[in-house]
This record gives sequence, structure tokens and C-alpha cells, in this order.
Amino acid sequence: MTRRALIEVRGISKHFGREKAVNDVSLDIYDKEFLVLLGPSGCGKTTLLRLIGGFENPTEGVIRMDGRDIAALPPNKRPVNMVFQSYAVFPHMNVRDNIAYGLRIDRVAAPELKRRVDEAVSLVQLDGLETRFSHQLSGGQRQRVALARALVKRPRLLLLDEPLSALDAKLRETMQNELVKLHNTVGITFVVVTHDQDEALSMAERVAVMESGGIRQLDTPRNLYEAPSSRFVADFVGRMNILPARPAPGGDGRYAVDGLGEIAAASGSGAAPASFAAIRPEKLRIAAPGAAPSDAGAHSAEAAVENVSYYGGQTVLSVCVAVGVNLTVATPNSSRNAVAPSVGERVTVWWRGEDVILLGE
Amino acid sequence: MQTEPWQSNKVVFAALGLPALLWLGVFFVLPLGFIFGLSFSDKSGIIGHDLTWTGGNYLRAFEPLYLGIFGKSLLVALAATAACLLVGYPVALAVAFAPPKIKMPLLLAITLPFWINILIRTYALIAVFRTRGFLNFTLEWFWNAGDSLLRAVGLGGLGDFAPLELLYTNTAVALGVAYVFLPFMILPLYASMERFDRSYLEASLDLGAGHWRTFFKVLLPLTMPGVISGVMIVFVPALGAFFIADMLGGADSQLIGNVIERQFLGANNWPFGAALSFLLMYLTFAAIVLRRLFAARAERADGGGYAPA
Repeated sequence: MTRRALIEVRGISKHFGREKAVNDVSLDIYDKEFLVLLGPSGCGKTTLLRLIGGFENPTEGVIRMDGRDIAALPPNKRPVNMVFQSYAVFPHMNVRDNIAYGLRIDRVAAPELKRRVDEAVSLVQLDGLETRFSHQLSGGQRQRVALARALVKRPRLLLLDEPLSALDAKLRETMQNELVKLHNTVGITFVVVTHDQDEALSMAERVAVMESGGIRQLDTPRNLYEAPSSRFVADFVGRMNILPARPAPGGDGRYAVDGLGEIAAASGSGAAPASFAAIRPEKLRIAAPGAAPSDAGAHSAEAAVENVSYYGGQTVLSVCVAVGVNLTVATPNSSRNAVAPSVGERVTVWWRGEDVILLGE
Repeated sequence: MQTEPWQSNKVVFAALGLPALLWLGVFFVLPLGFIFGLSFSDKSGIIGHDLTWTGGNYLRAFEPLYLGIFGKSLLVALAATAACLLVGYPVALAVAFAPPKIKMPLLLAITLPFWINILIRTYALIAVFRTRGFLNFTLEWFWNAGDSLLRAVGLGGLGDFAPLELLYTNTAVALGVAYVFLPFMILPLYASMERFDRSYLEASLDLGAGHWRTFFKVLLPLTMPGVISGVMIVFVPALGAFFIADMLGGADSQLIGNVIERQFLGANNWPFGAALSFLLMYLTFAAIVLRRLFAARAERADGGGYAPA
């Protein structure tokens, strides 16, 4: 299914002096989608967001909205609104005046203004707090004000810059769900910037992973996690065991990996020629030494447990499969009586061949 | 803030606070009390005063002559403060928003005049303001350039340049006061803008506001604490300034500061000078109280919220 692109970014670059914050990025943002820009700090994700919002002028490239070039439009002329990382709730106005600010600029008539502000207030569940000031609100409430203030303008596109980074962990999880719910309710395209990969995976329809000014992979959360296209993405999104791989003698697409033995390039598992083999910690299983894997066709290796970390929901082991080759294994504590191996114990590690991903440089 | 052990030790606290207290007592409270007493005294002989609790000194201050001077001082101080604000606000804004690399040199340039004696700076203004001074030279140059331009296109000339008679006028005094106190306006403004979160401006633009609306609805209200501090810091000393009026003003430019100075030095009427000093102080207090009242009202309107501190 091809979806209609609301925003087309074509070859956009932004240089600050000699630093290339965004370097030749092209991307389509679909109408009504929930897109997350994910990357480590300094990867250019916020600059890209600010380019779309009109807060930065591109050094090169075009941004089209509905086919019309908007790169030259200032932010106050774009049907795009932004929720700032600091929320920027005006401290000298109460909640209601903050939300009405944009509507007053548009000279919305008083009865409609009241109706739309009330609507926005109840949309973000701020009922009863309309006369409060910024300093009388919690971080989560401030964020709701910033959301309502942007949404009340009925933009085509809502940009959110690290919207959850200022909230504590529990609240962050709640707000993740609420943002997704809100997105479904209002039917507006959301573009969210975050450095938190859990947040990105749980909220997004599509995630663009960015690094040093470019998009490394733009995909669904599932594909990003299960089929990363590069070593960087594999390493950045989730935890990953990454081991160097060499073409095995004899060729035919087989690779020799220290600790894992010889592995075949499974269909659709990344680039050839590969330089690395990778497997997620939770896709490795632990069994008693010498025990046969319960799966036919599984691969196994003998290992010694070097470290055990208990996380409640899971226990993470570091096991040594060969000299200098350690694997991280995550085992779910699916029973209260689950017993983890102890440090120094010999175990068998086993995995399915299809779970090994081959990666290029 | 955590209380350090020495803060709760009364002896240490007193020992640290005592020098400053003594200083204030000996050099501020005592002389002020002396002047307060003087303002209710009568002259006796050439140098003597008797404390008679007379109100005559204060009554004399309400003679039309002195009321007029009070009024003029107020006008000059207000004009100078307004000029400082109009010039200082954009400058402070430019410095606060300047790239970090040139911010320090700019701040240095603003504070540089502090390193030069204030009298020398004021004397320099004479060379600027006088009839054949730098200001008139510049104006004349532009005038003549405009004149030849108009002649060249055949629109007739502007006629001869008439130099502005600026020096020894009240305008020169107000400009001089504004010039001397300008850094005191810029620095508190700069401080309030430096702390200002840029994303408020971006949020305003994002919500559709133009630059003017953003200035009046967001930037100005949020930098109001700096505006008020700057206005107070300039207005209060401007009200008592005397040497600038001495140097740049004419016969008609006597400010209340000059009158007070003359009572103490020339006219040798310390009681009247003291009474005028105290009246000036009450005027200043009134300004501070007014400001407090406005701040309190703003706070109530907010429901105990944001108030310009």
C-alpha cells in the first residue's frame, strides 16, 4: 500500500559553520502517521525537526507540504505546530490564555474560541486547571498545556521535541500511551524526536534512526529491531551481541564466527558480504551442559557463566563461549522459582539459525 | 540550601556580620541621623546649628521656586530614564542574543566607560554638544550632503545649516544623565534576557504570532523584572545628579541636586540642604513603594503567581 506523503523532504542539509548537523536527508512523512526520529544526541534529529518546523533555514534542499515548497515560510506561516522540549508554557499567562494564544492571533471569534479552548482542555484532561499558572503545574500537566496549545490550532503536522524526556519513568510510560491515544483521536500527523529507543519502538508507526546527520534506517519498529540494516542500527536499537564474521573457507555464503561456529546466511538477513554476525540476547537460551536443545536444527555452544545480573523480570547473563568472546543472554524469569545459573557454572547456549543476523560494515 | 554548621553558630555568624554592621552604623545610619536632625534645626551664627524641631526648612522647600526645581529634576530624570530604556533595551537584547564568542567583548564595551572618570566623560560631552562640536559637525555634513543632492536633482537647496544650540540646555542635561547612566540600564536588562528561555519566542512564532506581537506579548512582559530594575537603578541617582547639570546645563538647568549642593557648600545653609535631601529621599521611597504596590497587585491578579521580582 502506498500512502500519501504529507511532507516530502528532499536532499535537505543544514550546516552550522563547518558542522553538518543534517546532511542530505530525504524522507517522506505520510499523512496521519506517527513518525519517530530516533538517534543519539548530536545526530541531527532535533535540527531536522526544526527544519520541518521552520525554525532553521536549510543550507540546501527542499521541504514540500502537499507538493508545495515551504522551506522559505517562517514558522508562523506554516500549518505546523511544535511542542518544545522545555514545553515553553508562557509563565505570565494561565493555562486558558496559553491555549487561547494562537487562536487570538488568528482572530477566532469569542464563542468559537471558548468552544475550541474547552475542547482542547478536555482533550488533554486539564479540566479544572484552566486558571493555573505554569509554576503551579507538574511537568506532566505542563506538557499537556503545550500539547493543547499546539493542537487547538488544528495543525496538519505536530512536531514534538523530546516530549517525555523531562518526566519521570512511570509518568513517561503513561504519557507514551496517551500520546498514541491522542494521535488516534485527533488524526494529525505526529513527528516525535527522542533518544529513547523504548519510547520510539512503543509509540511509532515508523522510526527513522539517525546518526551523524543522516538517516540510517527508516522502518517499522519491528523491522528495525528484528532486521536492522547496519551495525549502527543493530547496536543502537535494543541490546545486541555483535561478533566479527569471516567468510568460511569453501564459500557458498557461509561465515565463520568465533564462538558461534559456522553459520549460513539466512535469507533476508542483511548484507553480503557480511562483516558481523549479530543475535539478540533474548534469542539465546541456556540449558544444562551437554543437554540437547529442545529445538531440532538449533545450534549450540558450550559456555562458562561469567556474570549474572538480576533485573526482576529477567536475568541477564554474560557467558564466555570462546577465549575473548562473550555473549549476553537474557532469560525471562517466567516463574517465581526460576533459578539462574551461578557464576563459573558450565552451560550450553543454544539458538536458532534464523535468529542470527549478518551485517555489513 | 543546606545550612552549613557555621551558619548555625551564633558567635561565628555575629563575628562575620559585625564589620559590615559597624560600617553601616558609623558611615550610614549615624550621618543620616545627623542630617535628619539638621533638617529640623535653625542656623545659629556662621557654623552653628540648634536643634529646635522647626518645620521651617521643609516649609521653605514648598515655595514655588523650589517646587519648580523639584518638578524639573523629576522631568529630567524621567526623560533620561526613558532615553536609557529606549536605547538600552535593544542593546541588551542584541548582546543577550549575540553569539557567545562576541558576547564578552560586547559586555566589556558596555562596562568600559566605568573605567574612565565620570567627570572626564562628562567634559567630553561638552566637545560633542557645543555649537562647533562633533554633533553639529556631523549634522552639518549630512545637511550639506542633502543640500547638494537636492540641488543636483533641481529641487532647490535646504539653505544654510543652523547649528543646534544644545549645550547649556535642559536637553543637554537629560542627554548627559542618560549617557552616564546607560550601562546601569543595560546590565539588569541583559541579566533578565540572558536567563530568558529562547523557546518562549519560538513558541510564540510557532503559534502564529508575528515579531511585534511576540515582542509585546512575550518578550517584554517576561523581561519586565529587568526593565523595572533598570528603571529604578537609573531613575533614583538621576534624580539627585548635580555635577552633570553643573557642567552641561545653563542658568535655567539647576536641578534639585545642585540646590542641595549649593546649600551645603556655597550658601552655608545646612539645615535647608538637609531638609531638601530628605524630601528627595522621600520622593525616591515613594517610587520604590509604588513599584512594590504594582508588583503586589500583579501578584494578586495572578492568584499569587508570577510577579516581576
